[in-house]
Order: sequence, then structure tokens, then C-alpha cells
Amino acid sequence: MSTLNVSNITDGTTTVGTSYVVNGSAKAWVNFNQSSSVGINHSFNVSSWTDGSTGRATTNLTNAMAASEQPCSASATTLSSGSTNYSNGAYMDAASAIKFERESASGSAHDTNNVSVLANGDLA
Amino acid sequence: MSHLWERLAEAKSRLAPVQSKYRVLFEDPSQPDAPAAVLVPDPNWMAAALAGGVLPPIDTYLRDRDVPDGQPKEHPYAEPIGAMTEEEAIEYLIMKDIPPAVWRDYKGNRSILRIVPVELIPSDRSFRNAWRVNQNMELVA
Repeated sequence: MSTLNVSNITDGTTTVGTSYVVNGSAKAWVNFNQSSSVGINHSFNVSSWTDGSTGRATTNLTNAMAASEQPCSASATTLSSGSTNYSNGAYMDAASAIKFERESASGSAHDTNNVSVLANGDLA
Repeated sequence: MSHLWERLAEAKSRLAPVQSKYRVLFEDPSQPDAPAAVLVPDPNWMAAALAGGVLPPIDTYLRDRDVPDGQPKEHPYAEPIGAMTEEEAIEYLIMKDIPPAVWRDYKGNRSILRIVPVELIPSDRSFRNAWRVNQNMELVA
């Protein structure tokens, strides 16, 4: 593997430090199904995914984050075929584990396909 | 030696993902009312485990469990280990991603951890929150 060792990147007009690029990139991401076909579709820096219960899942990271207070996010469709809308959330439970939760407005947990989880911040 | 995250990026560009034919079922004794959980190995991680030269030794993760949050950890900088079989990789994953209370410390009579073929995981999730590890070698709702 070749390595470019540079401190700045420029397009001829704007110059940014490579640290901005490295620090700003996602450190881990995963797209998974939590329905009849439970599984991982796409990922990076993920060792496994745990289906905990309806609407509850944990993404386990291969390379942990520097601490558990790192930013992360999750997204999935909020629509249902009926009148219920859903909300999705994620938080870091530990430096190497991101919890995902999905519920209706009334607090009922719900499974869905095509869930995406991202982690940004500093690596261990 | 490169950082683990860099090795993972390089491995992802070079290795085809490997979907494991196994899942790990477990119950957490600290949450007796919780249903059985299903651990799904990541395909890119499995490819790296089978290829070797990417992942750190499992004991670095186990020592890092005792490192206070926010303090430097050992596993990203450890020398990578060689290739594993799929069975060895699953064992590694159990120790890494499942609490020791499940695979090391539990002294009860129930069987709370089991490695099963993918086909044994029910596709009907209607009663997902009632899943338990069946003591007759099956998972039932």
C-alpha cells in the first residue's frame, strides 16, 4: 500500500489540512436489516452486530473509539404503512459499542430494514 | 506497524466480504427478563479474520476492558495475528463482543450461549421478545 505523507490538501484555490479530512471522516459505519432477514449489508470497522430484541441492536466496533462520549447517529425510515411514525436513535454505550433503538411515538419498539449507523470522532 | 484502523481500511479494499454460516445466541444473566440476543459476525471482519495479518490478539481487547474510559488502549497498536479458521474467529468474537458474564463467569445450570447455523434463527419475529435459548438445543419463540 502506498502512503501519501502530506500536511495539506489543495484544489488550487482552497487549502485544508489533512487532519481536517482525517478527523472529519466517519470512523465506523454499518447498514443492517433487523427483520426477517437479520444481517449486515455494508460496513466498516465493525466486528459484529447484536440483535438484542425488537427495535434494539448493538453495533460492536473492531477499533474502539477514544472514549464513549463520541458522536454517533442512526437513520432508518420513519414511515409505516399505517398511521404510525417511528423515531430512530443511537448512542455510544461504550467506546466500542453503539446502541440503536427504534420506537413509535407511543413507545412501542419496532423492527425495520435498511438501518444505517455512523460513528465520528476520535479513535483509540 | 500501521494502526488497526488503517489495516481495516486496507483489508476492506482487498478482501471480499465473507458471510458467516454461524450466529451466536446468548442470554445475559444480568438481565434475566431480556430475550435471547443474536450476534451476527460482520462480513468484512470475518474476511480479515480468515485472511490474517489484520486483527490484534484477543487478549489485548480483554486487557482493554479494564482500561478506564478515555485512556489509551492497547489493541489498535498491537501486532496483528495470523489467519484463523471460521470456528476460531467465532470464538474470538464471543470473547470480544459478548460480556464475560455470559461466556466466562456464568455458573448456573441453564445453557445461555450457543453457536448455531444461520438456518436455526427464526425468520418470524412476531414473538421476538420471547426468544430464549431452548435447553433442548433449539431456539424457540
